[in-house]
Amino acid sequence: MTAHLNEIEKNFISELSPIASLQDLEELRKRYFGRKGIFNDLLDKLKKLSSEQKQKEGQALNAVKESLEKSLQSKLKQLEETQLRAELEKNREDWSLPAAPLLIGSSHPLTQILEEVMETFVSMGFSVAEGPEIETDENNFGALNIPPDHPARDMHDTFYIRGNPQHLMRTHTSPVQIRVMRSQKPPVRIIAPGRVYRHEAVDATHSSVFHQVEGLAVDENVSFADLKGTIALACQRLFGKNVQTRFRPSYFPFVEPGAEVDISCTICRQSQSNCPVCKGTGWIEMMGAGMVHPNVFQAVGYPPEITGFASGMGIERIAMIRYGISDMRLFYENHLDFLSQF
Amino acid sequence: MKISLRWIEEILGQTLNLPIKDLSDLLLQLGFEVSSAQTYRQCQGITVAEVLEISKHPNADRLQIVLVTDGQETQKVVCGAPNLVPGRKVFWAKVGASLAQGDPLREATIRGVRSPGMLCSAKELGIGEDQSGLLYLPQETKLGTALESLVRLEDIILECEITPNRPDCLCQIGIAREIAAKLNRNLPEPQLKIPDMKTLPKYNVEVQDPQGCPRYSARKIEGVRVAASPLSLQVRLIRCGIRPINNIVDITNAVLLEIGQPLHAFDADKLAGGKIVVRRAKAGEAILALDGKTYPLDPEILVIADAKKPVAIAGIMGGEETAVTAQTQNILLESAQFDRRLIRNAKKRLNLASESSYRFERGVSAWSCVSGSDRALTLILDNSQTKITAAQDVASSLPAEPPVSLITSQIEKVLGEKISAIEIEDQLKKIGVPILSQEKESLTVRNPEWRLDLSRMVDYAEEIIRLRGYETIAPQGARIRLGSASYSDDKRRWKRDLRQTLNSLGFYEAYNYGFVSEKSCRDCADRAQPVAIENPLAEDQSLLRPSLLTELLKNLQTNLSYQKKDIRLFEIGTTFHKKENGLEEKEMISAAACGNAQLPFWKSPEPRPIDFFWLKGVIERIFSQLHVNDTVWQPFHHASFHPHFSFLIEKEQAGRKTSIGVAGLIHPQISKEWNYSEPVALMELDLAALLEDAARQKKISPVPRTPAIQRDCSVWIPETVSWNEIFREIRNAGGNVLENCVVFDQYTDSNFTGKKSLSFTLTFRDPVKTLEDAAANSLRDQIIQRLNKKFQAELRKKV
Repeated sequence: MTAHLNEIEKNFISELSPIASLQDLEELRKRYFGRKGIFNDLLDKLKKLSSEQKQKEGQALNAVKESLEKSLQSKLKQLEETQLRAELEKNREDWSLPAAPLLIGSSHPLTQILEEVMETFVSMGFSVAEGPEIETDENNFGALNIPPDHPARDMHDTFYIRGNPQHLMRTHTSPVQIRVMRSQKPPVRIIAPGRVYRHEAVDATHSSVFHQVEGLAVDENVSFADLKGTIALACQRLFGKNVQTRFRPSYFPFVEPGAEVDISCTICRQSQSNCPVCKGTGWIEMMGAGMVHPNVFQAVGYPPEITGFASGMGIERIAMIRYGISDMRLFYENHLDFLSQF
Repeated sequence: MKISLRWIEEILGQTLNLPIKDLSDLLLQLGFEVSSAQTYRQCQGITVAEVLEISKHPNADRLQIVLVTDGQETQKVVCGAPNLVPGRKVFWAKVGASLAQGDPLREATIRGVRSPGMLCSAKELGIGEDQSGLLYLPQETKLGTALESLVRLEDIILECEITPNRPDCLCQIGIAREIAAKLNRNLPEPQLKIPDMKTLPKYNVEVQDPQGCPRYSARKIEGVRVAASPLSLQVRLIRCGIRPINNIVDITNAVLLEIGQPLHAFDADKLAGGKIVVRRAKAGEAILALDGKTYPLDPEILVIADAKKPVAIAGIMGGEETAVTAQTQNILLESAQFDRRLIRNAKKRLNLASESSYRFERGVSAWSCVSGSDRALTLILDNSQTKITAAQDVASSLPAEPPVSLITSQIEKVLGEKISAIEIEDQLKKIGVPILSQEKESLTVRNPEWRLDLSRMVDYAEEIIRLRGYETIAPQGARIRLGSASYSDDKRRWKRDLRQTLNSLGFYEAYNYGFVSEKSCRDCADRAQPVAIENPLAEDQSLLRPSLLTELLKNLQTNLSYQKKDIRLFEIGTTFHKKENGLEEKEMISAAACGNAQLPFWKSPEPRPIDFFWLKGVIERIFSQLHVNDTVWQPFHHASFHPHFSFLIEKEQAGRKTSIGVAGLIHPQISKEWNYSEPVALMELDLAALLEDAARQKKISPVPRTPAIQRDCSVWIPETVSWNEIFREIRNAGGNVLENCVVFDQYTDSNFTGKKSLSFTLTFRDPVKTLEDAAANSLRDQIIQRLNKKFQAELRKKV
């Protein structure tokens, strides 16, 4: 029987080595190790032997069987690895094909700037205040020291409401100052963001609708120096820490002293005489500001010892400078080709 | 306002020697923005010549050959001017001459004819823009006179922006005064030669409206000779934007530019009754003004009249019939002060503005009224033949501005910088502020006569830092007590979160103008009354938007026309409605979308367009973010909305119903009109209603540690039963252990008419113990039984 075993071993090895597919290997396995395979057959024969012989022959048989099974497993592993490699090779794709498209929108550029401005002032202790877009003549002009027939009204031509001659579309967010001060005692520290209107035909640099953020700080000892410090810091936060601010005299009826605030040109950094943004002056006009006029405090019933400052800036203007946009209409046409760039 | 640097230097009696940039910066620091500057150079090599003979150019129809002489040299010059007249005096620029622009003139050959120099128009000399013809000189000008000896042309003209509070700077003297103050220089008094008028007869002036005209000065001057002004005066006027007329009118305009006082000269012989009446116009009166137009007048308008009728619209424009002409011999010179509001109002009523009205509506001072009259008189009387024969000054005693007391501590409070009384005095003296008294910590001052804008301490505070420079105030932090947070602070955060959610769902944010037409409004909005604008910019922008959807739909169409396919836009903005007791503003969040739910991708199957259920998903996402629960969706019937997939959404809380908004698909009929066949989804939600519960605190559950068991079921159920009803029963039957129920299939089969098959996955979980299979099966059976009992639903047999 031992001689026979040797022959089986020899045959198995010679059959195993040329096998190249898992299927052939399985057939080989069945033929040798299956229920009706060669080894089961030998085991059956073994049962008929004497116990002494059984033990001797059995040990030999098991040793051969284990050795052959080991070879089979190793062949199996080898074939599986080959197959996996082949599959990976087969399913290889061009990685440079386009990625899965994810549709994700974005906030409007004006929202993004508005948020930045609000964030800046909120971080300095200002609170957000809002008011209606349809205002009374009194809130938009009268209480702000712009009486009827004041020449400053020339710059505030607006839309009037049919059937409500005392109502108009607000020309600035300053009436929010009036509303807040009429309903709240000092201290007041607010910013009023919002949409404002002017009776102007729309073109590249004019708009019948635009956005402003107004700031107001009122308490017993607020000074022009505080205004300068607050605005200078706000401008650094908004436009970069190296930005310079320049205050110069100007006139808005609801403040005195009044100022125009310029920032150093963020585009050419005061280095180009032909800079299209600052026109070579090195400065960009950024906002109006000043100390709240005593007549305004009087109109809202604040005591005369109160002082405060106000400032106001245009959001479209900042966005145009920031993004190099020269046509204001782009903000209101809502082309995906425009919006998707922000 | 145009400023002539040479004129300013003449007033200051000294040259400034400042480059334009430094001068512009100086004016900017004073509060006057220079928007442009133009430099003119002196032209040289140009002499006065006479046109002798004109002959045709042999090779060009439009050109002529002109024989000219300057007394020493006679030449033939080619000229294209259409106004050539023999015998007239002109400027002849000879070869080598330098004109206003360009290189020195070279001898040219024009269409084959040699031309030694050229004859000049105003433009070539840099006097004005007029190049329509030659500039003619008065006949008495001597031949051969060099241009330089007649007129100095070099100058710098600055266009200055003067804020409405500074009418005193709407003239050369005003700006000169400011520059002198900033540079610490002296401003000499104007040179005046005024005859004694006390003994003169009084001219008959009657001011019927002393409030409208607090001051009126009349000067009758006889023996004037009306002619063209000297070239130097003409140049000055043209460069400052005023057209020369004749010597009298030019003088009044020169004074307007120099001192800021609008003056008017009447032909005294044409004033009926030899008198002036300042009164309101009578209804039905009209006037032919100097601009050649007739203006109807009314009692709101102040006029200057003679004995019979209006001869000028006060402060705005004179009348044609009493104008100074070449025949005029005697004039009446008016210098007055008028009420600002009255002039502004008249300007608006007549839609007629002028250099005069611009100054009167901002304010003309008593100082300029007197000095202007005196200055004009000095210039007119410069001629020995003219003499003043009558005068009158009517002035109601105007209340003078009261003295202002300036206390250093109060000024420090406003400015945040301590400035001593001595420095305050020094600064204010520079601009001519009279100091009435001065103590250690305070002083009493009065406004200079020409300053109408100084009446309070803060006005002087501004003057002090304006002269010191705004940069001298050291910045400080805002020393303000902290206030309290507002609802708007919260709202701002919620809006920001909402935007982020919509962005993540593929929506871009849109901004629209908010003006809509009546038609588009009818098409799209709900039944609320829109608010109309009295003065719209255009007919199709006559309403304030009652809904954001009108414009968003337009945005979709625009983008479709730009070949965009997958478009999702939203806007947060105000809508306007008329209500019984006034106007209402509501902030809305609205969206419009069309195209694919998922973008086309080379690996995915056929893309699927968005539909109602996609929109519902968007809305439910927003609701869950803002804790909006218990919403009721009612069918919405509107011609523009899809008949089956449009809903009014309401919120029901404690028996109270609040409308949240509308959502649905656009009616296919509408999108068909724009040649679009896929679904278009819309929503408009009331932001205030949406945010009502946004502040509610989230309740967070712990992570379940027990396993869940899932069971799939498919049932046949009558088609008419809605998922809302089915789900309610499933939830009731499943109890707390039913964690989730997800529909994964729905279909109908012609063999089962009136029924639909619904397949759903039930997820059960007991939070405290592991659920047995048997328990899950029994829960599922319980649910099926409930559906069977309620709706006769049957389990679908496995195929």
